[in-house]
Amino acid sequence: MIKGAWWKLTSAVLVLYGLIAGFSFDVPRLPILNESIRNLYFHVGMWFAMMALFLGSSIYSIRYLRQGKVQDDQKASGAASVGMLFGSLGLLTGMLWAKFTWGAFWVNDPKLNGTAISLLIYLAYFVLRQSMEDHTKRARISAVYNLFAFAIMITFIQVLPRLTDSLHPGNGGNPAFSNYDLDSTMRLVFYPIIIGWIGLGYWVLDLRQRWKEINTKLNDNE
Amino acid sequence: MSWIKLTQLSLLLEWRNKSALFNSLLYSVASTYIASVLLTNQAGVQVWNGLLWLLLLFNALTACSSSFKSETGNRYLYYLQWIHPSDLIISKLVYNGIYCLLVSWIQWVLLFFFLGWPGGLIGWHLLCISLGAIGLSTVLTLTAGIAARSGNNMSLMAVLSFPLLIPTALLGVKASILIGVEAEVESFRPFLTGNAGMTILSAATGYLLFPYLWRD
Repeated sequence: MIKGAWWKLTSAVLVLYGLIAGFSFDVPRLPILNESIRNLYFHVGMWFAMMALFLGSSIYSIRYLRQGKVQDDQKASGAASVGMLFGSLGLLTGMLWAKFTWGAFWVNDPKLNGTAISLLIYLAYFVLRQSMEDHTKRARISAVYNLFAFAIMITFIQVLPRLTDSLHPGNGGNPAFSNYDLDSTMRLVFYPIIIGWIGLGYWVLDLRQRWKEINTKLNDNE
Repeated sequence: MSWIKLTQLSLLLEWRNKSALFNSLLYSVASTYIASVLLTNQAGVQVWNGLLWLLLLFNALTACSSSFKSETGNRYLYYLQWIHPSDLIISKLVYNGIYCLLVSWIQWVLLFFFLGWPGGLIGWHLLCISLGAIGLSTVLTLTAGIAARSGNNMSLMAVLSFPLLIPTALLGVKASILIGVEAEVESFRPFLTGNAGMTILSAATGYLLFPYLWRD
């Protein structure tokens, strides 16, 4: 984890700025979307934070397999569970948005399939972790599963939306960002708040790790 | 022992025993027959392909879940000392690939026999199914290894592998429906190459990760 408090402060400021600016700045008036376009700052931000945390989780898993430190295993599982939290929030914000724009909470869409498999994969990861008592064995085997699953998930999320049409903007041939109907005021809020959410995710992870460390120390003293 | 020898050994043992093969065969016949009775011979391209992939998914799962069943106890210790884990995983990948390929063809022929084939382009369709079967087997080989190392739990195997099988199954079913309705080659080719790419990727990651899984 990065040392110091500067990145935590920066991300808090960025999220705060995003919250205020996101609700007060002007947004383009688009049919169907209307004011709900402001959800972009929150819904997409959640996914960015989730992917950043899952990436972090697999980097910690690689480090565990190479060096075998217990902390890396704890961080890998911690990052996965914080990522799950952000994933669930992204799903909730997305479902609300879908209800108001597409008319249903859940539709058959490549992006939603990707979401479903990523959440299922990490739920399976936690089931796998709980099925083993031995600590080193659990750490090693779950690290292997984490990396294998991450590789498949990333390819699936990156490949399939390019092949089929999606209700999401920018899909059906090109999932790039330039296709979003972002005007310059929206970019002014969107990019900072994305960085802010990612930073906030890692801050939550940091707090979780410290809380776990304190708990283990307290249990050792008893 | 090289991976070729190991694969030959697994195939030979399977051929002498034949229990797993008969198990898969009987499973295919029984499930296809039930499906044909329930559908009363009126399956369109969509239903036909959905059914085929569903049966294939479960059949591949049962076939591959016993991949590492014999490598326990003394045999495990022997393998640990004398066989490099990379050789072992390659032999398992090849063996499961051949096995699932056979199973998928049997499944296809059975469905053809009971329900007929409502679409066209049989050659492409068989290619699509074969690619899918190999793709399923590569993912299942590593998850079978994980389930085996964590204590041979059958339900764990299903929990671990289903989310990872969704990509292959989705790409496969989309391609096979497009083939069934005789769409143009350009429309379904990306799905086939996508599936082949997924297979190569999962085989490569499995190959890289297996040594960490295998040592104790």
